[in-house]
Amino acid sequence: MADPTEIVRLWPSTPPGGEGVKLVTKMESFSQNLANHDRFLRDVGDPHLWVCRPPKPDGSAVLVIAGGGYTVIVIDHEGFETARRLNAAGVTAFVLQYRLPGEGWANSADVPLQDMQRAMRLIRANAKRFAIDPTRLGVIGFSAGGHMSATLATRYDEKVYAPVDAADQCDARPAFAGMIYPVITMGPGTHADSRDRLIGSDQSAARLEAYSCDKRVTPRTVPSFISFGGNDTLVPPWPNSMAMYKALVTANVPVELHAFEDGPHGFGLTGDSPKGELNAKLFLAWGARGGWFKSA
Amino acid sequence: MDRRTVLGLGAATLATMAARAESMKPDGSLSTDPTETIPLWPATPPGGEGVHLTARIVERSPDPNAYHDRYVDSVGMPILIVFRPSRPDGSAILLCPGGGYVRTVIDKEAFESARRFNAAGITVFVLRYRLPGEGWANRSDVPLQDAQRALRLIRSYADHYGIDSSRVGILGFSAGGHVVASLITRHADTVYSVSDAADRIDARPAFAGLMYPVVTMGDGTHGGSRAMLLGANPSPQAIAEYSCERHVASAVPPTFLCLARDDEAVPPLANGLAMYEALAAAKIPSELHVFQEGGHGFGIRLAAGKPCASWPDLFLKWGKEGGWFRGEVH
Repeated sequence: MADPTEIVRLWPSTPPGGEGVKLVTKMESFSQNLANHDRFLRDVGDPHLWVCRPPKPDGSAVLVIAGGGYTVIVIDHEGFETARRLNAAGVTAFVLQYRLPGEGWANSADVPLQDMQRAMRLIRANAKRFAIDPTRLGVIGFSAGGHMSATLATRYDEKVYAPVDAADQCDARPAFAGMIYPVITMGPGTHADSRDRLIGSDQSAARLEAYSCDKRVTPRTVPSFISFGGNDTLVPPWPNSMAMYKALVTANVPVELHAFEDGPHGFGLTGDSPKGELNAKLFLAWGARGGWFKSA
Repeated sequence: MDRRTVLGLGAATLATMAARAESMKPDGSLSTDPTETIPLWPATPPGGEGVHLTARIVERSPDPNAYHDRYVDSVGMPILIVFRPSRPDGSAILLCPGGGYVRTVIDKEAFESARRFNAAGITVFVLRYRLPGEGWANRSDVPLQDAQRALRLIRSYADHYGIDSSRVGILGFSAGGHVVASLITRHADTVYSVSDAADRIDARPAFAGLMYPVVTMGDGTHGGSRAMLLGANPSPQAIAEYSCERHVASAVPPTFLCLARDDEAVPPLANGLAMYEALAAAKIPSELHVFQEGGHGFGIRLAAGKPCASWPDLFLKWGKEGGWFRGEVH
């Protein structure tokens, strides 16, 4: 399967807080099988969007955020495979190659949110070129990427960087958000590596709470879809997915929850496995009912 | 679409046309209903001395030519209604419809779901259980008595129906979900005296499904169900005893739960979600689907066109992963 060739750089020059940061993105692979890519990225110095266009676009679009514990980005399995499955349903996918918070950026805990907000704005500013309807643009994230989609769903209008061009006038609010086996809390029961990478050494109670997405839910949080496996041993469901679900219900935000009995961490949203495909079908059905997807 | 799908659609269409063409017989039955029924008890049911009831079937569909929506109350003789599949896979479901413990619905939830599961090769036994507020002694245990007895009877007839006793599960809707939640937590409780050999058979289901279930009798319960099961002003002890989420222990079988976030009749957090959390805390394998939309009692007919219409497929997939169902799953 060929990689997408259409790329959109997020920032015209140095990204926010990037003075003195010199990184050359490294791509390695978990897989030794050349026919089955499973690559991951780190040292991400060139944040950008990989544009994945469907053969029959329905006008909807999703920003896709692969996980990797804020340490790497699992770009094939949760990124490009998700994009292919969404493309098959007519959804245009933008796979986000985001900066990792522990790689020298200033204000590192907000670096992922800076990149997501900027990505949403660039997609909307170029909606015509991408042949998408800006009101039907959502986000989906996996694991640490689920912490990102939950962060965008709750903090889309927080000012975390100075505008750099006209695109920054655009709305960064996703129409909907998918959170797949997400990291949610930075408190007890978090995924410790993700927390340490995102928060760094200043782990005061106030800071942990500020980056716990369940604590940031308001009635203005966007409609959400959460799925996870009850047997997830890497990111415990209760302080993460279930806490987010309850917070959304309490705030009266539309939300759907799927807790598979057998869903080991990383089942993805991919036609390449039965659980990944089931997850895809449920997400697409939910998004179609929400009026965002048209051909599912 | 393969040939089998085409044939299946043909049969469904014929059944629908037959239903359209007829109305209820005086006893409330339709020609499309299964004719095979099994009485639960050889004589008077437990606590039934002096109780004389004749089943009353009521059609509540505003347009019976379009679809049927019957319910039954005044249940003096609890029965199993047998839905046999054309290609049995050896598994069976005891199906407990809802109705707030004041009636049980017949078409929606029960017969419509039974036909769906027959198509997957599962033998379905629809339980017409006794209603607690109709004069029985020990009213609160009447549904559980019937559920235990039903599971034992199905196993005692396993050879006759070509089913594997180790693949008999239970599925309940709304108040029928409370019947199921009671059985999975109290299958070993003695709630009636042994009357025959069947009563020595294990009443623990191999698996369980809870559809928009009533679970708790405490805060957030379905008030009508509680009033029927426990009477007016139940004691704190009675509330604790019949709140199923408080009795989840290691012997509870693997459980599937499905409900909708916008359920206005049975609050999701206090019932379905509380049960899921209790199951997880006891490390019982379980699966939960909470659809954003669906309301209460969506069954098959009211789910049409909504994402929650996939619940039978989700249940079948889960049951296949568990090894109970062996038929084709889409």
